[in-house]
Amino acid sequence: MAIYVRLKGELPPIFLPAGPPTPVGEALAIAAQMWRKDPAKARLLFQGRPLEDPSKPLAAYGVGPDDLLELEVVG
Amino acid sequence: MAKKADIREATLRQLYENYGLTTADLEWEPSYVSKDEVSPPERRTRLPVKDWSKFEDPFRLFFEDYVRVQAEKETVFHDAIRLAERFGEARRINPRWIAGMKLYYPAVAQSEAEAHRGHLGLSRHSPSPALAMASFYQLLDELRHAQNDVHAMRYWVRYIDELKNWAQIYQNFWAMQVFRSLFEDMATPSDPFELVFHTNVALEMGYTNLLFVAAPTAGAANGDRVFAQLQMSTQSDETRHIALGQATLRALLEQENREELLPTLQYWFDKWTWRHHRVFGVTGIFLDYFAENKTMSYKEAFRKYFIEGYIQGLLEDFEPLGLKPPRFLDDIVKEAENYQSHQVWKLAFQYNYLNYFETFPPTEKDRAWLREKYPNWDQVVGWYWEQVDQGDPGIVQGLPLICNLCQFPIVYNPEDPDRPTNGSFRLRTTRYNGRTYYFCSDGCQYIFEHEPEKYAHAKTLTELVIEGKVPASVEGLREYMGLEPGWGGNLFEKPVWKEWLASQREG
Repeated sequence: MAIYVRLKGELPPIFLPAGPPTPVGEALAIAAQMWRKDPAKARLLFQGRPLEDPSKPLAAYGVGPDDLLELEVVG
Repeated sequence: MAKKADIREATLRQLYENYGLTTADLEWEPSYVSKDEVSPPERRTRLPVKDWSKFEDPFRLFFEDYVRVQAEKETVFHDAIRLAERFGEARRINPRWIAGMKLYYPAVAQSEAEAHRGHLGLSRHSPSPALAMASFYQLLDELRHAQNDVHAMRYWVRYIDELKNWAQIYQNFWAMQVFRSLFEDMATPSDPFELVFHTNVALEMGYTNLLFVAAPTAGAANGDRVFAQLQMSTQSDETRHIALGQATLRALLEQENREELLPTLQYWFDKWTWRHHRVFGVTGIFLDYFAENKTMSYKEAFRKYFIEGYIQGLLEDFEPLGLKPPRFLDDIVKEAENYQSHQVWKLAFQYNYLNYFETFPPTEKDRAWLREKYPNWDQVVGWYWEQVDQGDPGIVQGLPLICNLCQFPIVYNPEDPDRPTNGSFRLRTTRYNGRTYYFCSDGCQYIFEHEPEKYAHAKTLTELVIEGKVPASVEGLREYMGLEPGWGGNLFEKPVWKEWLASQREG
């Protein structure tokens, strides 16, 4: 059981040391660090929808323990 | 006085009788132990074959002739190593190619050993004495190949420090898990006849020309004559193994109850063609990237040896007997001709801090050649190398998602051959016994879903790290995989490359 994240347009997906209760902002910081991206210029997507609120847990957006997220660089 | 023709006929008859007595009909009832102890029922074939007399050893070879021919091959190979040692040939080989050999030898040596183990099973449990004898010769061949690969590493280790840890690397190195998965599968088939599809059909008809003809040709072009000699020696046995595969396939498909056998045979054909494609696509990087002096692209080798030699050749013979093209052929072609070697090379570079062999960005000359051979190369990976040119180190810090079937990181996207990493990517998952399994492709998922009990227990390296069974740090992982400080990295940043360039300018 693990959440994975891929940089949009890139493979392979990478293991995200986070779970459904992890706040979006924390998960974003971890994911951005993996590809040396600035978290302020990136966002997480789940099934194409952006996870807007950094304080909400991933679960609030329906992210389960086996799901795949995307990290998108913006701006 | 006997006529010449009569003498010839009598001699031939005597030869056939001797051959029957010593090989093809060499069968006996065990008296010291029961037959079930020699060949337990669960190890024998479950194929409902009606007529075992259809199986034959296509080479009709006496053991003494086999030994004589093999001894001659050994002499040639060992002479090549002695000459290479005497004249210090290793110093004249392109370091790019040497980097590739660090990957090649541990994988191939062990694969030959597993093929030996697999044929021990077929030879012992075959209901046909002729097939058992042919398989017996093959198991000796595989042992010879494995020993020669180890012998070559013994020669190489004076120049290539990394090969001293080859056994640990084979066991634990991340990219080696894809070979381990395939070849341990080879040694433990569900049925003795499944081994024939794995080894003699899919591997030896499908991929050995790529491995033992195309790759050695590139090796020779980059100064590596020992490798060329070794693999040519190996390939000379493969023709016999291929003939055994064809003869066995024909004997199975010519059974009167062929329709009853076909679903199993077709599944094995589909499965092993896919499994080998997934693994041996990795060899594309030897032709497309490691080789500085290039002889043939992976795409060209794939078309010549895989499509024309294997698929078309096999179907021409066996489609009339009911065999259909392998189930995932379209995906195989799409991957091999568009992006397989490029994705593997990019991944190897992205994780060069976890490698024991060196990788490097393709040079301008490489890129021009790659664009000519693969018109979509810029869309597939050219953009990534441009980012590296602009100062992005290009590496990834994190554990990749690995396919639970083939054990290779998920880097292919069959949905989009021009840009395999585009947004159309779809992750394939299967739930089994309360756990989620991830797959790189429809092929791997299909095989898992047919035999989940066989594949569900194998954990990927990433899963082992997540579970705390393997260290989570870079240093800990390197130690676990048998990698010493200084191994791996970018070849072009290492002194050995600069020394090579200087020697080329002087020479």
